[in-house]
Amino acid sequence: MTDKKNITFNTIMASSVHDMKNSLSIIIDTAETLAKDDSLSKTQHQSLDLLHIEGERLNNTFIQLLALYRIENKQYSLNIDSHNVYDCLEEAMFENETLLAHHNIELEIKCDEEQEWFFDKALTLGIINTIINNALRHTNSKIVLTANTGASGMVISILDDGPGYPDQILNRDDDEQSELSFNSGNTGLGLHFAKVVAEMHNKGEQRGHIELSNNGINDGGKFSIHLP
Amino acid sequence: MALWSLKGKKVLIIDDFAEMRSSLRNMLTPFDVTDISMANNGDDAIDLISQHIFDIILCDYNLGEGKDGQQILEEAKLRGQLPYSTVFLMVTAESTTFMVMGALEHQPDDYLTKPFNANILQKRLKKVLDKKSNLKELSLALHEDNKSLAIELCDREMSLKPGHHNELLKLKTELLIDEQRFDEAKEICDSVIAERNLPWARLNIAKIHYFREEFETAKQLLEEIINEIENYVSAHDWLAQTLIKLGYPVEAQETIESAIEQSPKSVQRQRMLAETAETNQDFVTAEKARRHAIRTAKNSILSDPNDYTKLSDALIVNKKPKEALKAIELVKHEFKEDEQAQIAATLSKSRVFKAMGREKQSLELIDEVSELVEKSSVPIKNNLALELTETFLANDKADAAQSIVEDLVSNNHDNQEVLDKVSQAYSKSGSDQDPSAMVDSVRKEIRAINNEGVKLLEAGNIDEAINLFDQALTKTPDNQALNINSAQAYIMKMKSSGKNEFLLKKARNCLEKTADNKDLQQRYKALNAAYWKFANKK
Repeated sequence: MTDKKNITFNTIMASSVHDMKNSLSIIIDTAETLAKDDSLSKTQHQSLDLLHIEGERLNNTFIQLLALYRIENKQYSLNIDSHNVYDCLEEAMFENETLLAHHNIELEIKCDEEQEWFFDKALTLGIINTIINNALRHTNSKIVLTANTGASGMVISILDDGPGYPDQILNRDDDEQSELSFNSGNTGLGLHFAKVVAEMHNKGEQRGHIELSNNGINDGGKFSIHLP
Repeated sequence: MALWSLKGKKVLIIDDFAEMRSSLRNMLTPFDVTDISMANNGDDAIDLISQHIFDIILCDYNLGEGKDGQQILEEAKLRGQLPYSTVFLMVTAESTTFMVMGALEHQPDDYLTKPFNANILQKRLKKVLDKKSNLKELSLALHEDNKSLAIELCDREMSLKPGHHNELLKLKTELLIDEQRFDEAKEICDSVIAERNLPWARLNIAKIHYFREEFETAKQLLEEIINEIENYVSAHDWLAQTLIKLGYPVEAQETIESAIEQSPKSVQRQRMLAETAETNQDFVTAEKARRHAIRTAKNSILSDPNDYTKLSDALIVNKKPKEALKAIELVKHEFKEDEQAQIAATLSKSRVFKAMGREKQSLELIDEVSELVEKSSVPIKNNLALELTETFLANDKADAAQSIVEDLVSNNHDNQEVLDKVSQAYSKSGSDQDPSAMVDSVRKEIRAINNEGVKLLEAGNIDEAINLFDQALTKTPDNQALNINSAQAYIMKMKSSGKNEFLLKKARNCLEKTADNKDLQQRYKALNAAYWKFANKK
């Protein structure tokens, strides 16, 4: 019986996701199309950007919730394949281009263009987008994406030149972490998602993890994902 | 970025949502695309694809009721309407869908997850277009079914560029398995797994065990994979096949059912479920699966009258004879031009009447069947022919049975499985006749024709050989030896007199029929390569 219920709920969910993603696509696309109109005032442009940005944020949160739900219900198995890392970072940049322009933030990618690694692209992009989104609200002028691969795995880092992470996030204790950081809203969900996804990536005894520090640009925030 | 152009490209956008269609159109206009067609459902999309050759197809996976994107892709590929040059991008709402669909035989060139913007679309399109132009030779070799060349080309590509080559390695492994070069395939999988426990490498190792008939090992490996990656659909498919080989049809059925939960719209999988359920005498499931297959395949190239007659048989057991008659009635309308379908439907109908206790009508229908068989312009396919043999024998129509068996044997004179089934049919019916003398004489006759033809070829009398084979093939179009010899005759004719479209077509037809025959593989490969040499000649 539970199985049957599950199937029905999954069917309902899959079709709702389809509908919601369509709506999100149209909201974002409409904002983008309208923004091409040169006769709009500066404030109008800013409102449209805001519409766009909030649409993207909604999408990020939505992806995270859905992925976490699927992982929890054992409906998501990692889809590990080898991907070009630079391509992946570039896609993250493209996805966030309106936001970057709106905040007047420069994004730089420092990564060997030929570099490849094994990971779940959709989920990892989900993490990168979330962290960029978060960094945008704290950084001063720029965000840097770096990626390096080596014997112990791949490290993708997102660096900003803002004030850095507050102490209560840096010194979080893993057990208390969830409760503590969920109070800070979106950031909490984003970090939880990143942690879950990173830890799903494993190779032999090695396990993926995330690392937060204030070793970013001028002691700004630095978020790293280690994937073995 | 803006320098990149798609000028002159013909694009098809398939989405059930008008706003999404226009949004996709808007994304493409900056790249000078002017020729854009739109479809809001699967049937319209398939019509358009059959009328035009598109350069780019953007297709939403979820199209509401009716066909989904995967079915459109499948249909177009099976109809040969998607040339390699066409870029097919599947748009999905969730990235999880990839894993489920990634296991299917027909793959789009890439997946895009909603929402995405023009830059991302451009980047993906560019990547696929680049890849297509890089791997042109390889795809040609695949198209020409020249697997050993394709394997060499995989190696060449990999040696030219450093990197992981996951995709090429995977392709090469699958080609090696097709070529039964299991040791080489296993070596690749082992070395991939030593670095990374990738699902495709594990699945292929299980497949190798399966083909080596080490079914217990295959089962164990497949169960391990499914345990970790529940939504890896093709692992379920292979486990089901393995369980059938091991003699566990009930477990096989459960496995297929769980694969169907992941990917409900696959006609082939529904048929596999129906067949397994029929073996298990679970006619409630069989009925459901046949109905599902019929509904999903409707108006498509996958539609098959066999689903209707098998549904009718299940409905007889499930005590729904009226519905059985309805299913048979549908064959009359939907496969009007198909003589064999009409014969099979009439035969099914006689079974329904028999089950309803209407003996007289049932017998009349069997008379009708034998008339239809006599009038039929094409030889009857194996399964139907065996069914007819049994029915005719059971109803005192020994002559009709014999004429069917003669055709069947001449079509399959070297196929022991069919020959065995023929003698089973006779012994099952309790007939006092022994078909073996007749079978022997038919086999002798076919062998004589083949030998004579080969002699003619060796003597250089190609035209005479072609005449002989042509005549024999009109009577027994599926005979394997005749087909391969005939293909050889056509190729030899072209070697002496040059390329000829008519001969090419005939040779292709013969080759297609023998492509899967393991005993004829060597000859098929050589002739197939020779065929493509002529086909590609200017």
